[in-house]
Amino acid sequence: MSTLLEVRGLNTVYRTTEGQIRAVDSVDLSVGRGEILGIVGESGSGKTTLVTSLMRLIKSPGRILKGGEMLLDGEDLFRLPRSEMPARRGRDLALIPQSAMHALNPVIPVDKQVAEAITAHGKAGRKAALRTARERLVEVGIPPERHSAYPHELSGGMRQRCVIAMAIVNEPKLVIADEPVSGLDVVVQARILRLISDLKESRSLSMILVSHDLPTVTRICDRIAVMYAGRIIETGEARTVFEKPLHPYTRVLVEAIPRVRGPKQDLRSIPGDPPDLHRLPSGCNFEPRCPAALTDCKTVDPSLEEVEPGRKVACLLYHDDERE
Amino acid sequence: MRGVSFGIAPGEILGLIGESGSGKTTVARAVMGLVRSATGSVRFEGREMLGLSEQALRKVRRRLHLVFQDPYDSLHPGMRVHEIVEEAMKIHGVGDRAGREAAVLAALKEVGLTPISHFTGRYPHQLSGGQRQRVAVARAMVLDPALVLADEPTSMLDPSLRSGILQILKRHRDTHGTGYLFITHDLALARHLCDRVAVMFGGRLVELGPTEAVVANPLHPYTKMLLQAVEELAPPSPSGADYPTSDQAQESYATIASGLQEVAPGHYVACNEMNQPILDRPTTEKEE
Amino acid sequence: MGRVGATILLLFVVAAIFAPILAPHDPALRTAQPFAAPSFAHPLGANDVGQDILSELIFASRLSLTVGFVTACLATVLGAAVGIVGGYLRGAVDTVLMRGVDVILSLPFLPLMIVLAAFLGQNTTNLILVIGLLIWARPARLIRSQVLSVRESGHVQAARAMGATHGYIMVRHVLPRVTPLVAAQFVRTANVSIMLEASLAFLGLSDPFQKSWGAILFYANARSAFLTDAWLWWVLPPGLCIAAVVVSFAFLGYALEERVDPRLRSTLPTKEPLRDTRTPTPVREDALR
Repeated sequence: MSTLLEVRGLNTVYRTTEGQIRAVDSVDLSVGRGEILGIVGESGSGKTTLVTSLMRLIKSPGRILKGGEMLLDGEDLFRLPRSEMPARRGRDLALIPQSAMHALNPVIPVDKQVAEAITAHGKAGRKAALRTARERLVEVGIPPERHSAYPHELSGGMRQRCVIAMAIVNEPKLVIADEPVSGLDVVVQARILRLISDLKESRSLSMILVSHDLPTVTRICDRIAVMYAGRIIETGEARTVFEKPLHPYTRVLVEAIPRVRGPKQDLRSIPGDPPDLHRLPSGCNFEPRCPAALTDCKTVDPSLEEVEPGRKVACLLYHDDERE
Repeated sequence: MRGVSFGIAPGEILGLIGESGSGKTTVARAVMGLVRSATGSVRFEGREMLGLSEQALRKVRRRLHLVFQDPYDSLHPGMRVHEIVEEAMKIHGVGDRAGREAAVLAALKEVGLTPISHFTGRYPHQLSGGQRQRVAVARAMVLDPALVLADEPTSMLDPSLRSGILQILKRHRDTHGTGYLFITHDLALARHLCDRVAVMFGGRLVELGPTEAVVANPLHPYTKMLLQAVEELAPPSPSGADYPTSDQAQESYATIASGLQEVAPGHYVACNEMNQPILDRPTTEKEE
Repeated sequence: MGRVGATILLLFVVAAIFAPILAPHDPALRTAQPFAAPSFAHPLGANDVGQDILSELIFASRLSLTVGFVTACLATVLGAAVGIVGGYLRGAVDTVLMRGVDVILSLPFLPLMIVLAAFLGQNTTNLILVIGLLIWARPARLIRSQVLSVRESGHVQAARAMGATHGYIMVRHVLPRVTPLVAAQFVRTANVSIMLEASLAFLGLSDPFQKSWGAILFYANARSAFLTDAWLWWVLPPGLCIAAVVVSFAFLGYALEERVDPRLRSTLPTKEPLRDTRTPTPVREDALR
């Protein structure tokens, strides 16, 4: 599978009243064509900043440090002048934002909004755009009689489908979905995820899906990257990471998932608080809360290293072998 | 809300499962005596709550507490942690200064906000979401209530922190015999905490029974649909087999209400006269 | 900006407090020739009676500022009380209170005050009352708006759920949340009332026994100072004083209002911008209210 997106050395910092923090810390990513990469992270993990950085929507007091690269189809988007980015957004790179309600204009019918995504990039005239928009809406599961509805007339799930339609309408190279199903009813979540999965098949969609919900990500993503305190601490194939998590944090994430089927096991939770990016510990960022910490973990900051083909982990527990 | 009947025994944790528009919040408000237009009966510790005057309600609220969903909103930004936790005692004029301080310390210890001295003087904006929610729980516990209504207390927290809160609730129930009405949309989470679950849909209580029974053998089509969706979203099973995803729960049934039928010991389902489960389709399009 | 305003105001307040020390002469005494031009002994010359204008000016600051503060206090307290009670209790109470506010807002201030001043007699207390009882309406409206949203916040609901009385909630929960807005409104009201007092005084409707800056202007005008060179030292200084105080109040008000607006509406500002501090909330169209 050829690589569509290659991100290297992405660092995004914020200037705050208490000093500078690194919300995204030396992140490398790659997404293959027709692949869905899942990024899992909780509060303070940096996943929101990561999404905003990839869309180059970071504003002061934040900024992306020089030296990072974002190669989409070989072209480094970070080197483009700022003025050229709006043309790329929505066309080469599309975002499915977290809350559809806030992404949709409440006074414009949804078919016109989707059409606007087309006309904004000058890809077609109004009539043709409207026709295409309606086709997309059908494709994402919105029946024709609802096409001229206003956002507030639609249910949460349908609004999310509209937003997905807006994202794919210009056939972007890469779609970034930021918590696409959070806040929706469970039944609706399942259906939207199914939609995304179907779209991936039918359109060979390449996607980055960001979520705090590990099961969601595992279900439809091909590969996963787990983030903690701005860094990627584990990557690998979705199923493998889920069934055999290496990093202690990933392990707790897996064990914290409540299940309806099977034996009722004790749910795990992590003690302590989410990391304070102003006061990161020396050594491993996760060490203060880690159930498997070694003495070295207080002083040595593990880097992300490949421990098996296609599997990377940033943890001293797995680097010991290499030390020997 | 139609024909909703259930009871919570002392020290029992009842899960109220429902999606948005299911009526679960209305039920919670009715339990608090906040729904004036309700007919029927809401008895708390033997006392009828519906139609009570505001003043009488206030007395009842000493024994009935709430934990809200949003830890960023439910704490007064200008009050310190110890003030927040002791507020209920101040409102009801319970205990003297020393007694209140002791109760606050005990509550903070119970929710795991230690070292206590580190937390008592803090303001909410200095705490993380998980810590704030613990303060909210401590606040609910401090007067040793008979019943605590927890409205989605973990849905705004990181998944890795959720079970921490659940453990606190469970431990509190075990040591103090407090009853809980745990409102959530997350059936899987309810399974880990609740003794019994009540499933709501379209303003109706459609299924009620011991958690394991309902989860292992859902009777109502909505419960089945819910479980199916939960399984679909659940982590893939290790054997690699995926659960079937049929859509047949879209059918509607006749809607003649006849209350809950006991189908198995302690396991009730909403049925119509022909003993067929009722599935009310809400008239507004609330879901797909 | 706020600091500039506060500093200037402070200077005026100090001048007012220390007037007897700062003023070169007793403004009630005739210490110069009538209409005397500025000289070393009388930097701003003398008025028609022969009283030192500079001393008049300094002492007048007392009246102008006092009227401003006291009226603002009266109006803000009244406005906040009405806003909080109406906004929190809603229902009939709110309706009645807001209709009252509407009536007052629809009255033409200046003409009404002129009539009232003429009717009730010209003294400072009446002036304060008249102005104060009219300008509380706008703050009441604004504060009520904020109370409407504050009353829906979680901690207010929590207090209600704990069985707190309405009074307790209004004082302990609602009031602290609207205090920043109240402070900003206080400053604005003080501004307005100083202007109104100056206007009324200029029209000759203020207390003849106590001179404010507006009163100085009244006498200046009555003695045709505008038509002679005397305007430079008789008209300009009080005018500038009024302008300076008004502008500094305005600066202070802007600075306060900036802090009120959106940041204090929900939670206090987080230390880290754009940080995803919470997991996404389920969009609950219902909520425990």
